[in-house]
Amino acid sequence: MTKDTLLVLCVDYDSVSDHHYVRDDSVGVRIGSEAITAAMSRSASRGVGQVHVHSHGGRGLPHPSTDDYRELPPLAYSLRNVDAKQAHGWAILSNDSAAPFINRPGSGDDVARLPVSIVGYPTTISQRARHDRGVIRSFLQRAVGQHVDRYARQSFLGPDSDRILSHAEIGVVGLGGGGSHVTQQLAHLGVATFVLCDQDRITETNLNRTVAATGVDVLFSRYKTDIAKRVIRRLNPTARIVNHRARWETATEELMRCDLIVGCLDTFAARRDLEAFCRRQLIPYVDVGMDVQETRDRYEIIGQVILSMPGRPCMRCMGFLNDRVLAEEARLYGTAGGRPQVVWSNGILCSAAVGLVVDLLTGWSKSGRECAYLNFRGSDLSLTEDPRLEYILDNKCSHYPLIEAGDPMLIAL
Amino acid sequence: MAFPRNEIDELKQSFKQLSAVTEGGTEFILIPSLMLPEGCEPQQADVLLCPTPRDGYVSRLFLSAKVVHKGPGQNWNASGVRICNRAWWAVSWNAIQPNAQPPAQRLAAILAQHLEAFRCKRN
Repeated sequence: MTKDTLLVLCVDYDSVSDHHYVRDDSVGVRIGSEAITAAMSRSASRGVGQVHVHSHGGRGLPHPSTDDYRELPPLAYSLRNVDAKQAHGWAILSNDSAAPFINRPGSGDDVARLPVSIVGYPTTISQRARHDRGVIRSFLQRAVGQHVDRYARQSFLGPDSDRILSHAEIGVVGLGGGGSHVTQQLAHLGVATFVLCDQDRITETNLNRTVAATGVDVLFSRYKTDIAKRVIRRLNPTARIVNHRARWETATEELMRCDLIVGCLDTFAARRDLEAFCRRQLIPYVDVGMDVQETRDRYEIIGQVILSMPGRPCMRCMGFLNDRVLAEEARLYGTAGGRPQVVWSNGILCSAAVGLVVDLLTGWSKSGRECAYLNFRGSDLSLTEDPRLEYILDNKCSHYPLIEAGDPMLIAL
Repeated sequence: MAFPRNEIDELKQSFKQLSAVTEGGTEFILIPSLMLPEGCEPQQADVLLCPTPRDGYVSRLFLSAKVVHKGPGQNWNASGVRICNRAWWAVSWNAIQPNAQPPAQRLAAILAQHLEAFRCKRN
């Protein structure tokens, strides 16, 4: 969300009483004047904005009927006349999408149709301008031999999965041992829009785990994002890639557009900051990380894959982040040196992360999973759900309440 | 907000425009256009005071810009970090000790001790 973005949080629902419907031979029934009066009264008494909704059923983006276009804008104007400081409007729902028409508070603008994303399981990605480029891209894909047959073996992901994945915009932050796996797999799956962020150049010590990096890349001291971009391009020459050879904090405008962000970062503090950003932008965040710890007589590889969804338990709720680990990390700042990393554990963790991403976007497994915390243990190659998760699964997040999404609320002291 | 009213009032004697903002369960105090100690360039910056533990420090002071100064706080170990939709910079500075007693833990005192990082000591 940018500063000009209107964020409307719908927090309550009032149904129209049966006796407020009136018979209308042209459409069956419609809401009567008493319902409109009741709605205006609600806005006047509670000082709230209202969005009138009704469902057309079915799947996909619903289209308003001519009756909707005739009847509903006046309703929104009536509500605006009561309280112009609030957002009012109307929306048509389907079973998995919506077409909202919201009036910007305090402006005389006409009610405008907005793109919509539904953050949840499965996540419905926003309809953006890139839809309009579909014909051109389709032509280019055919020209370079990228036929629909490529995805035939993954058709079980759903009849619409090719379109969903090709329209999803995914941010990958950190393109080393973790992010290189993630981008490669997403490109194979058909994801075609990426925002890649990493400030680092490849070095010899990265070659043990950075997928597709070569000695020549080291020789030329190439950026890790350039290598990831090359991998994607070789699979999909028409992919749209924002190649940000710098810290993610300087690419926030691009990351705000993402439907989902995968973080493959080195530190707890960096994870905390990226999750905070995602929560503010209402973007699902998938975190991947691994470490090698020395025990008394051997080494153990540990790692985690976390799905942090807006409104659902965050990494603090899950116990993965806390003041103790952040303080300990800060105390050791600069003394740890290069942490041990190996390619296979990164591969397992990142494959699980990509699995979460695909499930969230397509809903293929029908798991309904909106929250995940998987622990990896290298000695037995196990990936298991963290036992704490079942106790907090249904909790709302107290650290990032939805009401704090968008621009920060400054409270005058 | 959990800040004691009397400490806020004390802070407001010096800074009229104070705001509280929360992120990730942490409460911050935003002070716009705070006049930094003499010799700082730029002379003014917005500051974000985190009076509770963060990054291993008992408290932290974030600045809206990396200021040039001749004070003792020269280790900028937070550069362009994203907090509340803005980029912030901070120096490594232990303003108060973990076992500090009032009045050292009052908000105004915490802020003053953080600003010592940017104050040029003259012999």
